[in-house]
Amino acid sequence: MHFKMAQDVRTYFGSIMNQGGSHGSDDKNKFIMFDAYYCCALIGMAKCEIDSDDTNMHDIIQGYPGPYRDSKAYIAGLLIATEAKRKGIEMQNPLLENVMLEYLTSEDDTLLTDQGVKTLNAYSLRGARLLQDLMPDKPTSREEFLLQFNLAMNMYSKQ
Amino acid sequence: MKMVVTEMEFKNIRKLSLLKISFSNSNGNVYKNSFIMMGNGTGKTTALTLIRGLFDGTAETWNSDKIRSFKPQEGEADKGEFSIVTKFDERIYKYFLKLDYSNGTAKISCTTAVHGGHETSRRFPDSVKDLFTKEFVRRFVFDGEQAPKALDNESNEAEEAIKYLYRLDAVDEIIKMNERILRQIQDSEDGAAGTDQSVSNLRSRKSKVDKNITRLEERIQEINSLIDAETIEMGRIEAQVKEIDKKFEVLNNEKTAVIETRASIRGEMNECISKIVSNIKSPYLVNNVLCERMKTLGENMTRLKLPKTISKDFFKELAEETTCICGRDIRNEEKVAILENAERYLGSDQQSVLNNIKSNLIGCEYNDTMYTLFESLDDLDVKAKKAEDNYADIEDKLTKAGGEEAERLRNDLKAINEHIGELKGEKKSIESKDDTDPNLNEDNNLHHAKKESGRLENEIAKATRTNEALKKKKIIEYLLNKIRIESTVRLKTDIIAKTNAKLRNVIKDDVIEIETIDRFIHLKGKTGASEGQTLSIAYCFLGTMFEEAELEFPFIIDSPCGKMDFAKRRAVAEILPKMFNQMISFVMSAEVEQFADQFYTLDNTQFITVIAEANQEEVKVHTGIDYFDTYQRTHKEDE
Repeated sequence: MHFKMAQDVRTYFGSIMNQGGSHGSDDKNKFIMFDAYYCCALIGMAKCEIDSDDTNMHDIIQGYPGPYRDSKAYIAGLLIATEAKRKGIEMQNPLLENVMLEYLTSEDDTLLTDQGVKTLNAYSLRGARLLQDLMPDKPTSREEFLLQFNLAMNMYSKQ
Repeated sequence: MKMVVTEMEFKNIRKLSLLKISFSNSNGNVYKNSFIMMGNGTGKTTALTLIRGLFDGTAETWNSDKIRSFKPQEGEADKGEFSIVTKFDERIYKYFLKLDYSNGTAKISCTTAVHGGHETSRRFPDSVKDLFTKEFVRRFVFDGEQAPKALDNESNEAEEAIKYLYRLDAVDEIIKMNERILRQIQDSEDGAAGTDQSVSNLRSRKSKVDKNITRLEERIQEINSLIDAETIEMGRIEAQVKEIDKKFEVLNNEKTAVIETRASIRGEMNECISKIVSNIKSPYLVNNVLCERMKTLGENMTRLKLPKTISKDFFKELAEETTCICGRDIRNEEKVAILENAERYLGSDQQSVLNNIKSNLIGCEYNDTMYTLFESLDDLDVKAKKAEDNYADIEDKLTKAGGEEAERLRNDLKAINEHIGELKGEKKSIESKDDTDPNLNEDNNLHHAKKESGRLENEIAKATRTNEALKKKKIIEYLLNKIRIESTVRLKTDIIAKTNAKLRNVIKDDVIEIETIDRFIHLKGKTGASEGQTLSIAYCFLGTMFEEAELEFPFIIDSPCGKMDFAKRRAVAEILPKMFNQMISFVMSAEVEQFADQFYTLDNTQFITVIAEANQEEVKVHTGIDYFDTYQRTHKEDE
């Protein structure tokens, strides 16, 4: 299962992305698309909201890119905790195990089932929409994006 | 070349268990005329069929029923043989037709001293080897009953006879061969049609592409010149700007300081961003709410004893046992229930995933690292914006200090820079060798244009080669058709004149004259002729053609007279010997009177009577005029 991002969200982040190819070295200080995907997923999970619209979703990558491989247990844990909260399952409730059965697997390097990846995609899409609400114009620099990300995290995690 | 038949032999063919007919006299010279009278049922039609099948080679294509129809009714012979000995000038060729009645097959072979013995197929002297086609053979091995066809308006016989006897059909063969050669050339050139139109189209397309190449190459030269000129102009303006700037050293020093400050802030900012991006991958560091959520999950997993120590694997193993650990029996019903409920438990592999996650979550501790980093980033962002403002201020001051001139020069520099950028972009696009860029084509890219020009060059070369071949083919076709038409016209004129001369000798009780030959023979002033007249016209026509031919063939004819009246028989009997060097005539008893008997007084003529005795299967052969004449008188009413 691929991590996916809506086409318009890809375009939104176009100016701060490393384009790869022959211009890759010029963009070494820019982000990779998964950076934006992940930040948006954090915003979505901070607000505990998903957007399941899967039209115009395009594959980004299958499995985590190198810099994120050490984060897979944290991301999986955060996803389980957030889903339990979104579904109103108390942390002490034995039903928590069912959430784990649904989203976790040892058969994929991400530790996530297809349903787990799909749900993370939905959090990322929601996070992107929330960010676009805060910053309608495309971000033109990494600092601009990161400062808005921080603002969004602080704002939505407290709601 | 002169061809004669010297011998025919039948072995085990219908009633002819063994019959050899020689067409040579005791001195070894070939009889000019041979009359073979065969009584009813002795195999006259069979003989003609075998002669034709052997000479034209079609015997080998006969079906098994036809071949077995030649088998003798009595006896156990399962093989038959028919052979003909011929002489082409003085060279002897013997042809065999071997009939295998068991297998239903026919095989032709020949022996010839010329080619050193036995041959497994028909062989003829080189100069006539292509003549022995079905169409040609049936005109010298002739069925008298077919003669009227020359005048039949539903038949092409007269036209066809000229075509095949004068080998004008070979012209058609050459035309077909010419067509095949062209197709081979076209195929070898990938099917290029090679028409004038296609070559012309290709040339005009290539010319257009070549003009593009020239235009694009000229444009590159032009761009290079423009860049050089703009670079020189830029250097000149920069020198002027520098000169002006020198006058304002203080402001320039300030500008340098601001640039340095801006670079320093950028460096700090990059460092800060790198740290944020590195820390952001630990989500518990990003935000204390998320951290708390993760940690709570880890703690509750411990509290709920997740993952459970009993795994799905335990229940699966239990279901395979016959007795539970509590001592109760595990029957099929219990087994199904255990397996169904086992799905509610994690597998041992999933347990290890949960253990991994739990240990990570329990260790989550939020600190102010990210808070501090974002504070710094915010601060640096403010500083960077301020530095940008300072830079713009100084630029503005410098511009104002240098007056309108400095501003104009800077604007010029900016415009030149942009222009050089555009020119370089255009040049890069023209010179690009990227085959995958959909925006590049033969109109705007040199690589594409050259590739297309090369491709068209190849196409033109192919089309030109086939064009040459097409032109030659058309010339050959034109000449061959002209040869055929003119030859046919001249031959017809000549044949008509000579045939009419013969007709005047043959038909004296009427005025019969050929007017034209167009598919069939058209008579002057008449729409038809009697049966006897028709035969006479046909022989005169056929005789003229053989008489005029360079090659002399024997004339082997079945039923030459048919219902011709006595006067015409006598006339035909007079002209036939003049037309052919050898005539072998298979006649019925009724054809002797006033035809065959006209030859009694001639030298060099033999008469053979082949009869089947009553109640006997074997035929008997009688030679000489006496038996021949007596037999016809006693049997002419039988037919």
